[in-house]
Amino acid sequence: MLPMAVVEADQAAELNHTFRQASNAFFGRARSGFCELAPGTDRFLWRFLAVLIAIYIAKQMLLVVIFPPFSGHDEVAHFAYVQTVVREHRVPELLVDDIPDYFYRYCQFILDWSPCEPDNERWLEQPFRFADWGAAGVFPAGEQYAANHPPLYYLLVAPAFKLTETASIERQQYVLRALSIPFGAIAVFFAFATAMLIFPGDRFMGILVSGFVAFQPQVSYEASMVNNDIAGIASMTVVIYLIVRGMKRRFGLFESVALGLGLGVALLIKGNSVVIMPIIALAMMLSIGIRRVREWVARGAVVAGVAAVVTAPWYAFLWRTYGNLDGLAQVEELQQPWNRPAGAFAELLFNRSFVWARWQETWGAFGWRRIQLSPTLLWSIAIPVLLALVGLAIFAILAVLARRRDGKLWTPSGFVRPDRFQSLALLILLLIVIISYLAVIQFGTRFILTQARYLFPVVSAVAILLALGLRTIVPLRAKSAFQGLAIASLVLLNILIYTKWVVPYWYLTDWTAI
Amino acid sequence: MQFNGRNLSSRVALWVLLVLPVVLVLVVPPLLTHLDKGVTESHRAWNIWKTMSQNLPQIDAQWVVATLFWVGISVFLVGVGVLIWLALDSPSDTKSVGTAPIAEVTINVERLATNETFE
Repeated sequence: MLPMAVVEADQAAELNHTFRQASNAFFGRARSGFCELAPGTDRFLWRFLAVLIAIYIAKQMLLVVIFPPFSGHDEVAHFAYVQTVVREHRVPELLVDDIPDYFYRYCQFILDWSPCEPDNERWLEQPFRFADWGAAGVFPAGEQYAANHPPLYYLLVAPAFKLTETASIERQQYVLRALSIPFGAIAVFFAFATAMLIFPGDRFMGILVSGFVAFQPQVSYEASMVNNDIAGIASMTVVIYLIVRGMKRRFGLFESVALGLGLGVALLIKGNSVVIMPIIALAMMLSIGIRRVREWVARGAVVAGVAAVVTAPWYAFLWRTYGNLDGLAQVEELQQPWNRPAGAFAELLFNRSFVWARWQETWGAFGWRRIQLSPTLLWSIAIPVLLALVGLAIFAILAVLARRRDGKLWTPSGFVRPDRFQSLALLILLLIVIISYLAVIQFGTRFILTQARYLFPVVSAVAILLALGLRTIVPLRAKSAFQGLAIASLVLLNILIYTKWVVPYWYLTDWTAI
Repeated sequence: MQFNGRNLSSRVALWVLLVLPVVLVLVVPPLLTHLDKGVTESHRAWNIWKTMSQNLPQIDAQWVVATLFWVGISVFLVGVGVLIWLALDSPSDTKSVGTAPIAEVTINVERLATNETFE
């Protein structure tokens, strides 16, 4: 008979072995799942991505605490939306719901709750609900203006709100802000995975694309506040990934269902995801083959059907409540005292100040456009971006030339002709970016407050096109050094922005008096 | 010294992994703040991070905010050098250059799987 200690040791060893087997199987499956999502990714790239995401999370934790409570765009309105969902088990309504009295103290960060005097004791206790706009008349003030947004983001963060209900409003806000970080990490990962789908195992593309998305200052800002924007960016990044994946596999049934589901989720997070729908149709037609009408109509019906099933309750609610499918007519009514169109479509398309304002918002304009970056820095960012666009044009020219010369074309950057899938995928990404920008302009024909952030959901497409442009012009030998330089520059850009503008503004000056 | 499976010159490693992050995170920010004319004299701080941590929002969970802040700074400081080094450390690899060769390799592997002749 064996001594008890030996038996116990054997059992422990066996248990340990079983645990290790189970753990290996789990992590092995998880690893192969990730590898399947981003084909061709080698150990080196995984390591880079892991470090990047760790740093990204650390950076975002800093951003969450750097910005004063509720200073993000529409943060109060989105927070109040969550409050309504949790406490009243319903979605708020435009022209019906108000922003709670407590938030008047943050009136500097609330659209249209003016005159704003956060130190006025009387108004702090009982804020006014109507404001006199002179000749324009008297209009309601302090209304809930984010109510037309779809409910999914608010439902996702509702459990965290519920769990922290005993805490102060500000503490809850920090918790909800922190919950935006995983959405940002999803955007970084799927941007990387999309690049790997088109250029399997290409280190230059993998590093630059994921680095760009992780360090783009305004996309990062979105991932540190209470707002559905970053969830919208993450979901659209996944949709773009699913489009490219569908194109690669010519939209099999699984890819079509997954895309329909992704689109449905994106539409339930942010209404402007609707701009991607015509591009999905085009991607299906081009990749399946324009002449194979039956096939792409059938697969298109699957995508549209799944998305329609997922979003039907929300659109039924919008129709029943507002009589339209976006609530924008009600938003217009809400903003009646001060809103005006930014201009006509053609006028805005070629208006230099409109373009410059969007460029400013793309990189700066933190804290409700309070913190503007200097023109010197904005031009310093524009130069490499313009170079990348030139590189992209050269890539297109080389691709056409290489086609004529049967693929044989030598360049110092190691250009090789893209295959059919790659060409189509890049074309679709380009169209996604163009259509999204045109949608920003279209919104401006109705609302003065059109903003560059409506373009952020397509950040992965922008990153891939810019990285490809740079890859075309950077010589083969200099690629490794360039990758390091690019990442160091992106890190430095963030440090510059935060230490020269953001932190001094909030902490070293009396911003409440500005 | 070995890093990422390669021999590094200790000088390069020292610069990228230690000196660069320290310069980026600890020297550049206070220098910028010190030179910024927009910041009032009394508020100019040689150590911007310390000043900021002292001015973090006065809420009931200040220790949580402070922890997030300092953990964030520390991970960023440690990780940024590693990240830049990883980005630099990409040996020339013909597989990663260009696009079509990858697609061709994929096709050939598929052929192999179906027992077709691999050329």
